[in-house]
Amino acid sequence: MWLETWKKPLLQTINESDEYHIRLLNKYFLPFLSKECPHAFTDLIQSMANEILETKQTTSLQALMLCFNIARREKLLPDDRIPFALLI
Amino acid sequence: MGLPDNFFYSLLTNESATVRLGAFDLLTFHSHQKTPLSDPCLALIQSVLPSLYIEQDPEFRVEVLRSIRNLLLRIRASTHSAAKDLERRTSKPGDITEKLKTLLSSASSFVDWLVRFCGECITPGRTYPMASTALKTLHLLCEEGFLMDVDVVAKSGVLSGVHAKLFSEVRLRLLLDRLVDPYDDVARLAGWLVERIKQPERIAWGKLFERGTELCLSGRADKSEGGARVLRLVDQYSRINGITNVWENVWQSLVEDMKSGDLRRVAGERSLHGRLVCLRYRACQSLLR
Repeated sequence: MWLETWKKPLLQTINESDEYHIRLLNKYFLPFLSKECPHAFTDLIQSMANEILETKQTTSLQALMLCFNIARREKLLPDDRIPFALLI
Repeated sequence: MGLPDNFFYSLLTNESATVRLGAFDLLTFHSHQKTPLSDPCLALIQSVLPSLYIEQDPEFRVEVLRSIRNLLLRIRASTHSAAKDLERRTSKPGDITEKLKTLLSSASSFVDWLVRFCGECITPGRTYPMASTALKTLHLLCEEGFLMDVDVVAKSGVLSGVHAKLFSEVRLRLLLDRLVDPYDDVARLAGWLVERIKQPERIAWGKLFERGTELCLSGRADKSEGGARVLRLVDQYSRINGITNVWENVWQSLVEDMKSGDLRRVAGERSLHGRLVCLRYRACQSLLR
């Protein structure tokens, strides 16, 4: 329900609005959403990622990247650290 | 995934500054700082850094510098571990040793490039955003212990495994030129670096003193303030350059000009502003002592 209501306007704002709106979303709305509704936020990321994989279209890539960046900083994603010894 | 090869580059050069900076942050940040950056990642950073440094919005420039700091911390942590590992493995050559050497060599090339790039950003004619961001990057490099010819106590005990030199002949000249930059913070940032040079005897003090004295008398505020800054630097290194009594001479010339009573000459050819700024530096120094 949440996704159906918010996803489309959100993507539209990030893809089609001017810099001012994107900045407000990135600075206030998305971080707030990630803190207050972390599950909804991760659902949104998953949904956008699935859409990109299914449709092979990159229209929502910008929004995904912004959300992904916030999710990573908020530690909402699984820990992706790899021990240094395994990398080399 | 079926995405085009240049999808990340397109995000880094997106028309929205928020998207560009978000992508750059994603590229440089890692919660685990020891994770090294791959060669393609470093190449991508090199390709987009010039466009990020000309960002007009000061708030975005702060964000760029925050990402640069994360990048430097990551390079420092990863090369520190790699150098330590390499020390332990010197007696056992093998595949891992080669990988560690490659990692250190890539990071070293990148840091060298970054210092060169920052040098290019302060060449005459570059814009204020570019020069200011580049000088702030050089400050970050100093504070995190990457530059070996600058006398700065590193913020952290973790030492980088790679180092670079800041004061090449050209960059030293460029930094000295920036001491008289019309933008006060650019001049201050350049001055901070020059004041910490480990080999001050490399500076041509005689010429610098002459130029500083000449600029101090300029009728233009930016030039005369730059001249005052140069004279302060000369006085700071008086033990090395042998130029003493800088303040006394400035004060003396000021008194003589006032006593002469020729106000037209003082206003046109021997402006007071630079010399007064000069004496203000002296007063500040005395207060600090």
